Amino acid sequence: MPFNVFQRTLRVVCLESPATKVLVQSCLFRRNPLTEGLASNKHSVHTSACLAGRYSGRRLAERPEEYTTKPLRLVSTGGWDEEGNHYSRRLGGGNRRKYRMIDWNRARLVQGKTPYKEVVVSLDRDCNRSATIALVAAGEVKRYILATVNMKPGDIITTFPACHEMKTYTVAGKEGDCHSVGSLPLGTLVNSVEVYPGTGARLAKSAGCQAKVARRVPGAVLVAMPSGKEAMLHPGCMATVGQIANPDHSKLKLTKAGVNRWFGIRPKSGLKKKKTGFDGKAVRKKKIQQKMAGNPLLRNQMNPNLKVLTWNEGTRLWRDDSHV
Amino acid sequence: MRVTVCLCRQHYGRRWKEIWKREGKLKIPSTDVPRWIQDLGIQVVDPTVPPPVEKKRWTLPVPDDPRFCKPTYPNDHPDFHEQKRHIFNLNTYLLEGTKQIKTLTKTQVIEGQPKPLADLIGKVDHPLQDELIQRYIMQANVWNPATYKLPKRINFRLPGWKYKPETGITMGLMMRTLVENLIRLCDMIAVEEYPQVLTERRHTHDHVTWTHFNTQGVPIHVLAHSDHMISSNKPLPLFADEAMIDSSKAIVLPDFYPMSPLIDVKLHNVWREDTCNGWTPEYQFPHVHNFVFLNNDTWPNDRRNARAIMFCLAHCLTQAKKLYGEDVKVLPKPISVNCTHTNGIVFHFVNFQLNTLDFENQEGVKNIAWIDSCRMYRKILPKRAMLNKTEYKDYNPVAFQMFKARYLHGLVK
Repeated sequence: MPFNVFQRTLRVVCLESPATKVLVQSCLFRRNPLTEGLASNKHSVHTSACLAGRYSGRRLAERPEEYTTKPLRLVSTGGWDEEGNHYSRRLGGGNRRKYRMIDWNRARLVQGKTPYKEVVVSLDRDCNRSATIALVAAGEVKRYILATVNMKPGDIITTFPACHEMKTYTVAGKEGDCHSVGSLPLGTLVNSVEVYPGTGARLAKSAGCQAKVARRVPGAVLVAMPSGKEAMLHPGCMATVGQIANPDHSKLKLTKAGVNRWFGIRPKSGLKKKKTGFDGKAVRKKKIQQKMAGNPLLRNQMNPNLKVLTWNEGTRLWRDDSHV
Repeated sequence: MRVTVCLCRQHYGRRWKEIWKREGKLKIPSTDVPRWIQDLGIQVVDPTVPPPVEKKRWTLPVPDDPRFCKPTYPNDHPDFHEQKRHIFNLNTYLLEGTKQIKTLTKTQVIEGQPKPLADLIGKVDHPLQDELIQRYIMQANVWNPATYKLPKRINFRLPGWKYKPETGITMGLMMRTLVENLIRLCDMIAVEEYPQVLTERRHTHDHVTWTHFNTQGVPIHVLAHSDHMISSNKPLPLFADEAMIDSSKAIVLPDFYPMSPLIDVKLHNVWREDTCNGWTPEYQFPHVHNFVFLNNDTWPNDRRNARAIMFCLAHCLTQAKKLYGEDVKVLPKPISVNCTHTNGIVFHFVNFQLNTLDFENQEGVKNIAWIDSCRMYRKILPKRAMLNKTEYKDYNPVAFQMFKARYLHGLVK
């Protein structure tokens, strides 16, 4: 099933309640130069293929139209922009890398109401992310997804079709299976959670991360993110059961300064600078958990002031898709 | 005040200012044509504008010169179809290897070599053959003054080491010289005892055949390449007897649920419905006895064997369609073929016997394939540099005897 992985979508919410503002600001962090100056259009969504911002120091050299499992070629930028600006001194060098496309939208291949079963072919280490990736196959289609802790080659994992209603009964999730958040029991540990239904996984994607289905409110599910904050989600958002593999990634020690150079990071200037918030956090009293409310995910029906803009590569303009 | 030399000195600054005020500005005379010249009616030419040059477009001296032909797009191909079909060719890299090819071609795979070939080992020998082959190995690897640019070496034990650019004999050239010499040696040995080689057999280079068949309702098109092809005017004797063919009914083929056995067989728009055995219809030696193709890649052996089994099936199918018609459903008599594929060091042997053409269901009689391999010698590259210190040792004479047995099969009675 062909789909355009490089289609950038920008979802703009005319903020009315302060509750929605908190969620939008915390979840959607990508800056966009087109909408930067506007107070209402502050943040945007981006898909996985944008390669996690310019501070990775790498850029894709080829952009196929369809999804492939073929490793793609990356070019190191050295901290230089496409327009010729030098935006970072601390990028450059490092080992060569290949980019493996990861299918964040697990339910993309589900047709109708039949569950989609896949077999795990192999587990692989990806140099572009801390998590382990798994090659899964079904029919004549192969794709990469994020592996969970106890996943091994030969396992069969299932993706269930998205259920956009809050279910009164729930199913006990098996590890590696993908369900809607609304159909999982409270207390389930999940990863690769979608923020909006059908847009692809955004939360709990790093090594060893897991979110928790915390509680329910009418029409929405509250999911505790790895940071401790809670996000209010539409029950149709998909989530994978289990913890992301490679939980010992945080214990990894860089034995010498040169290891940073292997990752493409250059040394600091060496001059003494005044310390900022970046250098550490003062030990203070623990804050109460920040709760987010509002339901921006049903805004197609609820919020008449919604604007959905889509980037059109041909015309180089944002197209208004609100009526869709 | 005493008048000194210093006071009498001229003030250069004030002087400079005066001159600069008068001559500091560049006065450009106007380049316009005077009015009286314009009234005379003389044609005025602007020297700054270059005169127009007539551009002559270069045309081809010969209209259909192949050096300047433009690339054709897939849509312009004469065999282009809008419907995509599965195509198996030299680049098909199967996910499950031989396990997958069992289900695709309905084949029972046996490790080892069939009995008629095991009997042929060491049967027709030449006293100098081992000495000659060791010279062929050295000729292919060392005694060649070629200085082609070699691909960059990959050594996983030294990930930080950067290899310098190296020149020498490429892998493809080495394989070609060795295999050509081995086949010529086989010819020389066989002629002494079996002079009918000259009348019965032919040797073809760079042979291509294509055919198609249906597996469980899905059509597959196979495009089989071979570097060396030895064909004859008589069919090849069979490997398995009827008792062995009947015993293959009990074999259960592997299941790949939820995967399809067609995974990694790619879909293409360009395909042909016909079958071709690579020769004209009047060719008198269409029975394939033995074909060799060279593995100039870094694939695992399992995937290479899978590719070889599919090529064997393609050769048998074309033969069956030629003998019994295009729409043959039931095979009157089994067809067999030998195959060797090598990377110049390790020789892999595949023997295939086509027993059935019923690929629609997985039950009943199966086709049978034998897989075997033998390393001819060991090539030890130096760790970092100095390719001229490569070692060649552990020569194994069994490899050539197995190679020769495939050649003699069909000659010896």
